[in-house]
Amino acid sequence: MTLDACLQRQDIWRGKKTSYAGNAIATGFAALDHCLPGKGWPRGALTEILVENIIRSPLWLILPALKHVLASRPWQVWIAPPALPYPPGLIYSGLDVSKIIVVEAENDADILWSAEQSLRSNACSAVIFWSGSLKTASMRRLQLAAESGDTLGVCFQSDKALRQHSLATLRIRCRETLAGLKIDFLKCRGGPLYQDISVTSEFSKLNVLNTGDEAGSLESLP
Amino acid sequence: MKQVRWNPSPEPAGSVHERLTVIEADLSGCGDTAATTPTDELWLGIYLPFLALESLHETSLQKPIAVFEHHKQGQRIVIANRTAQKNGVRAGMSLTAARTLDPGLSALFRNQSLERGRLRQLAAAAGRWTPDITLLDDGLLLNISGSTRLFGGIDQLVERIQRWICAESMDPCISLMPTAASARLCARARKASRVTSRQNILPVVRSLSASALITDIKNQRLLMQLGTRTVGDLLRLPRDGLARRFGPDLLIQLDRLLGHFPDPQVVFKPMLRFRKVCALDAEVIDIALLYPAVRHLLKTLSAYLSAHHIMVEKLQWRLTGERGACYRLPVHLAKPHRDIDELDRLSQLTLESLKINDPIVRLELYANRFTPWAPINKALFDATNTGCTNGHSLLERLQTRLGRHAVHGIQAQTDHRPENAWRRCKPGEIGSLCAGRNRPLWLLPSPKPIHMRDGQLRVGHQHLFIGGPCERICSGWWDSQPIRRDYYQASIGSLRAWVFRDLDSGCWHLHGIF
Repeated sequence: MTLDACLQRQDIWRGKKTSYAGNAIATGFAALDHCLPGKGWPRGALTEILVENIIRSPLWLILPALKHVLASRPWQVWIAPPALPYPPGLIYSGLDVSKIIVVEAENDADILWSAEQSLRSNACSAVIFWSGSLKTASMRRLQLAAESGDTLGVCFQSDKALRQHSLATLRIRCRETLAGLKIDFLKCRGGPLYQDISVTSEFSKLNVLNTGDEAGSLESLP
Repeated sequence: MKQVRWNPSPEPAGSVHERLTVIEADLSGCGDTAATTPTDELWLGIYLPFLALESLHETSLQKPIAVFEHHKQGQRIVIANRTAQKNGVRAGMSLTAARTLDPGLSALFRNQSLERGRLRQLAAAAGRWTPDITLLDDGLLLNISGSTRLFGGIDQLVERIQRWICAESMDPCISLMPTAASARLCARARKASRVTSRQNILPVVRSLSASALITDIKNQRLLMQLGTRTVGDLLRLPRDGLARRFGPDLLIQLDRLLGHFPDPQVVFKPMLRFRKVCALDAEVIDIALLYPAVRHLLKTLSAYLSAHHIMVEKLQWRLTGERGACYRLPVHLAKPHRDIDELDRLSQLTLESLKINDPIVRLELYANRFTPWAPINKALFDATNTGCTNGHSLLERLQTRLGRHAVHGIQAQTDHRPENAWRRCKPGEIGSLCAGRNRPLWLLPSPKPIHMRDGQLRVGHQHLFIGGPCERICSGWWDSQPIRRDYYQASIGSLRAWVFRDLDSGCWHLHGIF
C-alpha cells in the first residue's frame, strides 16, 4: 500500500488535517460548513444529532443537504418521525416529497432494523431516523451499514444519551437559546471539536411583531 | 312485411373469396405436397348435450333429472336426462308441464358459471392435443391442423380425442370439418362427419336445418314462410335478396360456413395456478426449521415460473397446525418477481412475524397471480438501474416486515384545511404540487392546546411570542368538519411554531413546527 492510498483511508487520524474531503454534502450553512472536516455532512457515515426535546428536532438543519442528495437515488427514508412530515411545507422548501418513504415503526427493534436495511440497500439518498435510545453495538452496526451503502445517515436522539459512548462519525448537540440554535461538536472524526456554532435560518427566525413583556398579551391582537 | 334497407358494399363477399384463393394458390405453390394444403384448417367441433347436468354432477340414470332456468316469468327445461326423456320430458317445455308428465322428476336450477368452469376444465385437458382451443356455449372447438403429424395422422388423433371425450362426458358428438363454423354446426346437429377438404363441405352441410343458423324468432318464422328448411335451400336463394330479408350477417355466416370468409376464433388461455404441498416429517414449533422446506417449495415454483415464462405477483403460504389451526400468510411483492433468493428472503421475513401456538405439520405454497415475464433491459454503464431494483426490493422488505400501512409515501392535497392538505399514499406516487407559503415542516397529529397564565401564552415554562401576519382559514362547512381559525406564526424560545386561535372558542392551539 502506498502512502497516498494509506492517507486516503478515513480511519487514519492526521492531526488537524481533514481526512475525508470530497465525500461530504454541504450543509447549506456557512458557519457549520466551515467547522466540519469535509465542509459538509459526511456521506457514507452516521451523523448523530442530540436534541433537548425530540419533537423539536430541527429538520431545517439538514433540509438543504436532503434536498441536494434527493435526486441521486430512488428513495429517501424517514423512520419513526415524531410528528407528521407536512407536504405543503416540505414542497415549499423545495423537497420532492414523492421520493420520501415514511416508515412508522413503534418499537426500537423495528426502527433499527428498517434503518439498517435502508442504509445498506444502496437505494436511499438519505436515511433519517428518530430513536429513543441507541445502544453502542447497534450504533456500530448502523455505522457499518451506512459505510457499505454510501448513504447519508442521520439519527436524531434525545440528549439524555449525552453521556453514552458513540461510534458515529459525527456527533453534535443542538441547544436552543434565545439567540438561536447553538451547535456543539461532541465527536467529529478528523476534525477539532468546535463549540457554540450559531446557526440561523428562515425557519428559526421570526420577525416578532411585539416583543417584551406585553408580547403575549391578547389585547394587542385582532 | 317490413323491408330492411341494406346497401350492399361496393366490394361483395365474392371478391374476398377470390383474394383468399389467390393467397391459397401462392402458399400451396411454395409449400410441400402434404395430404392437405397448408391453408386447409381442420376444426374439431365437440358438442356436449348434457353439459348442464354434468356440471351439477348429476350423471346418474337411476332417477329422472332435469335442469331448468327462468324464462319469461316462468321456468323452462334446459335439458333432461335419458330417464326423464323416456317419460316425455323435453328441452324447452315449461317446468309445470314436465312435472305433470313425470311427477318423480327432480328439477335442478341451471348454474351457468359451473358449466363454464366444466368447459374450462375440459379445454385445459384438451390442451394436450392442440393449443388452439375455443370455448363454445355447449362445447369446444379444437383446431387440430397443427398436430396431426405429431399424433400419427388425422384418424389416429380424432380417434384419441373421441376416446377421451367419451370417457369424460355423456353422449358427446364430434365432427371434423375444414371450417370452424361448419364444425360447430355439424356437431350441434349431431352429425359425426369427417371432412378434410373445403370442396366437400357443401354436401355435408346442405342437409342441415337452416334454423340453426338463425337465432332470431322473427326471422325463423320468416324462414318457415319462405319454405326454406335446410342450409342447402338458403344457399340456393339469391344473395342480394337474402341479405335484404335477413340482414347482412346471414351472408357472412354462410360464407364462413363454406370457408369463403375469414372466421377468427377467441383462443382459450388456461388459468395458471401453482399449488404445492410439503408434508413435514415432524411437527415444527420453531419457525426457522421451516426454512429448508420453504426454499424447496420456492425452487419448485421457480421451475414452474421459468417453464411458463411468467413472473409471480403474489404468494401465499398456508401452514396447517397439528390441531387443525390454519395460518395464511400472503407475501406482497412490489413488482412481479422470479428471483428465488429475493422470494426466499421475503418469505422468511413474513414467516418470522408469525406467532404459532400449534405445531406445524404441513406447509403449502399457493400462487395464482402471474404476469408474463419481461426481462429487464439493463444499461451497460448506468448505475441507476441497480438503484431502482434495489429500491423495489427495499420497499418490499420494509412492507413485508412492518406491514403495508406502516410504510407509505406522503403527498399534498388541495384543501385549505391544514389537516386535509396532505395524505398518505403509495410510495413514489406523485400528488399535487401545491406548496404552502408559511406552512410548517411538521404538523402535530392533533392540535395541542396552549394554556394562558397571567394573560400570557406559555408552552411549558417558555413564553410564546406571536408574530407575522394573520391568516384566516374558514373552510369545510360542507363536509361537517368545519374550521374557523386564525393562524399565526409564533416563536417559542428559538423555535418557530405555527399556532392558531379558534374563532368559535377563542382558545389557542399549537399546530405545527418549522
